[in-house]
Amino acid sequence: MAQLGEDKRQIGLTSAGQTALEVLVADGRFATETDAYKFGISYAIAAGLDPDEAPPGGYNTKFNAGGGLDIDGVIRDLIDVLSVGDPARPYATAEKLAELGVTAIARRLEGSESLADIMVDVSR
Amino acid sequence: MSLRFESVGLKNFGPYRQIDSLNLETQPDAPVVLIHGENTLGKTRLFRALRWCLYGSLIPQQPVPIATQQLQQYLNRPAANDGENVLEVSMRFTANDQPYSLVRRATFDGGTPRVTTDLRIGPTVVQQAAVEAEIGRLLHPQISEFFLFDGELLKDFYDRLNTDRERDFIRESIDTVLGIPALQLAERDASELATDALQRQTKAIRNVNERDRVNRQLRELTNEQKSVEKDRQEIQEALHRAEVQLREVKEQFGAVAELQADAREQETLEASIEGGKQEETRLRADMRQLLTGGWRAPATMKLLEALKRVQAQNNAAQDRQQAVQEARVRVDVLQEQMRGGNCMTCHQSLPPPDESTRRQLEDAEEKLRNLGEGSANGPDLTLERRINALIDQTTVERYQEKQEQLNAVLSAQFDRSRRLNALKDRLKDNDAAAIRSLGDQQERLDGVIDSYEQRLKTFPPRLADIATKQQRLARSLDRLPGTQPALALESAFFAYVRTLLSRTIERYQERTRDEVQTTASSMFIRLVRDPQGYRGVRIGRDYRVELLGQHGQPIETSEGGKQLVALSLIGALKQAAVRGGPVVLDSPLARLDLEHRANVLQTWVPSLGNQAVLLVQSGELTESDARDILGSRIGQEYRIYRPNNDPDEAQIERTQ
Repeated sequence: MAQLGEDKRQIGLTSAGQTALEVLVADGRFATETDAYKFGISYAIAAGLDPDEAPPGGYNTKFNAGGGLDIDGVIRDLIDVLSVGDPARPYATAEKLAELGVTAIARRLEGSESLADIMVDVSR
Repeated sequence: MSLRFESVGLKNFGPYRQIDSLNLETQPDAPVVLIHGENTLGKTRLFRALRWCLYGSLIPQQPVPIATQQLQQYLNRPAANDGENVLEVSMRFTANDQPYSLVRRATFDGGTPRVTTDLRIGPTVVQQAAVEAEIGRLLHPQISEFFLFDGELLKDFYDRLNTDRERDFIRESIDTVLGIPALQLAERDASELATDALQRQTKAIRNVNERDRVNRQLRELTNEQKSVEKDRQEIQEALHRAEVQLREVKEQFGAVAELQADAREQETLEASIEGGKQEETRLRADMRQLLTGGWRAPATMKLLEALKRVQAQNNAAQDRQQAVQEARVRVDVLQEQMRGGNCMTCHQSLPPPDESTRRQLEDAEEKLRNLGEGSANGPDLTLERRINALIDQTTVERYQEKQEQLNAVLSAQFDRSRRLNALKDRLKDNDAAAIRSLGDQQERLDGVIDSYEQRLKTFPPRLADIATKQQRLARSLDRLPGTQPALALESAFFAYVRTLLSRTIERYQERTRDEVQTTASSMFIRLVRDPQGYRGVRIGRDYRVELLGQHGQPIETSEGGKQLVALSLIGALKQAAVRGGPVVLDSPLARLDLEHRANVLQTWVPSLGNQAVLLVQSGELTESDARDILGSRIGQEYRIYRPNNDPDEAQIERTQ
C-alpha cells in the first residue's frame, strides 16, 4: 500500500465504477476491460472532469498501474503533460479519472449515444 | 488314214540353195525312199527341213518361237551373202485322197525372221490360223517322233522309255492321239458341258443361297421393325405418363407458384442476413481494435490545446532569450564605449562617450535587469515533443467511419429481418422444401418429356430406313431366278456322259496299249536273232517297258537288245498312231550291229507303213547293200553330194 505522498501502484474502480465499466465492455465495444479503463481516463481528461470530484475511497484494485496497465508510461505522460491532478501522484489521478470517465460514458451509452458520438463530442 | 508324201522342195535351207522338188512318191510294193549321204553332207538338215515344214520346229518337242530364233543358222550362207533373205521348205502330200500343198517360209529382215505358212487342200487355201490344226489332225506333233525318227535317239530310247517323263510322254501320245480323237473330243465337250452345267447349277445354288440370304435379311429387318415399333410404343406410353404427371405437378405448383418465389426470397434473405452478421462482426472487431490502440483519442483536443500553449511559451521564451542577448550586447558595447575601447565585433574605435552614452548605458542596464527576471526558463522543447507523441488525430475519424458502416449494416439487417419475418408468416403453413421439390419435379418432368420427344423423333427415320432396305431386298428377290431343278439333272447327265466317255476311252486306251504291246512284241520277235529266248515286250499299265524272257519274266538285255526293243516299240506306236502314214528315218541303222541292220531293213522298215524315207550314210548302208537287201522295194533312191566341195552347198541327185 502506498504511503502518503507516494503514488498508487495498484489502481481500480469502485463498485459503481465497475458496474459502469461492465456497461462499456458489454456488446463487445471494447476488447478488454483494460481498454475500456484507459479510454475512461482519456474521456475524463477530454471532458475536463475534476479528479477531486471522484469518490475519495472504496476503490477495488484491478490493475497494476506501472507494471501492467501503463507499462509504456503513456497514462502517466498524458496526465503529466496536461497537468491534471497531483503531478506527484499521476496514477492516483488516473484512478480518479477512470472512475469519473467510465461512469460518465456508461451513463451516456445508456442514453443511447454511441461511442462514436461520445468521442466526436469530447474531441471538439 | 492314208497319207503319202509326194515331194519336198527346199530353198536356202541348210546347204540346199535350191531343191525344186525331191520326188518321194512310192508304190505299195516299193515303199522305200532311200537318200544316201555321208556325214555332214546334209541328211539331218533335210530331215529337219521336213519337220520344220510340217510343224515349225526343228527338233522334237521344240517350241516354235525357239526354232524360229534358230533359223538364222539354217539360212544358206551363199544365198545370204548374195542378199537373199528367204528360207523356204515346201511339201506336197496326199491324205485321204486329197492333195495337200504346204509351204513354210521364213523371211529375214533383221532380227527374228518372219515365218508364214501356206496350206492348200486342193484349190482351197487353209487360213493361216487353221494350218497347225489341220496338220495336227493328219500328223499330230506329239507323235512326230514316231514317224520322223532320228536314229541318233535310238541309243537312249529304251532307257528314256523307262523314265517317268518319257512314260508320261508315251502315255500322252496314246491318250491324246492314238485312234481316239473323236472320243476325247467328245469327252472334252462333255466335260465342258458338265462344267458349264455345274457352273450354272452352282450359280443356281448360289441364287438359292442368295435368295435364302435375302429372305433371312428380310426376316431380320421385319424383326427389327417390330422391335423399333415396340420401343416407340413404350416411349409413347412413358411420354403420356410423364405428361400426366407434369399436369398434376403443374396444378399443384400453380397454387404455390408465388410461395415458391417467397421460398426463394427467404433463402436469399437468410443468406444475406448471414452475410450481414459476418460483416457486423468484422466491423465491430475493427472498432475494438481501433480503441485498443487509440484510447487516447478523446483527449486529443486537450493535447492540441496544451501543445499550442507550450509552443507559444516556447516561442516567447525564445524571444525573451533573444532580447536578453541583444540587451547584453548593447550593455557590453556601451560599457566598452564608456571605457573608450573598440567595438567587439568589428574592432573599430568607438566614439568617445558622453552624457548620452552614460544615459543609454543606464537604460540598457535597466532593461537588461528587467529582462533578466523573466528569462531564467528557456523553451521546453521536450515537453513539446512529449505532447506531440501523445496526440492521436486519426482514431476518432476512422472509428466514426466504421460506426457509419456498422450502422448501415445494422439497418440493412433490420430490413432483411423484417422482410424475412413477413415471408415466414406467409410461408408458415407451407413447406418450402416441398415447394422446392415441386419445382424440381416439374423441371425433371420437363426434361424427361423433352428427352422422350427427342427419342420419338428418331423413330420415323429409322423405320423409313428399314422400309427402304426391305424394298431393296424385295427387288433383289424379284430379280433372283427361282430354283432350277433341271440344272441339277443336266449337270448330273453330263457328268455321267463324261464318266462314260472317260471309261470308254480308258478301255480303248487299254486296248490300244495292248495292241501296241502285241505289235511291239511281234516286231521284236521278228527282229531278234534268237526269238525263242523271248516272249515279247510288255508295256505295263504305267507304260513301263520291259523285255520278257521265254517264260514271261522280265529280263535285262544288251544295248543292242535295247535298241531292238526301242525300234519295236517305235514301230508299234507308229503303226497304231499313223496307220497308213509315212515314216522318215534319219540314220535308223547307225546304232545297230550289222546282223540286225539287214533284219531291220527287211522286216521292220516295211512294216512301218506304206512309205518309208530313209536317210542313211554309207557306214550303215551302202548303195549296193541297200539294193541287195531291199531290192525292188526301193521306190526312189537319191544321193546327197557337194558339187563344189563347199560344205554350204549340197545337191541331191537320183541314183535310181
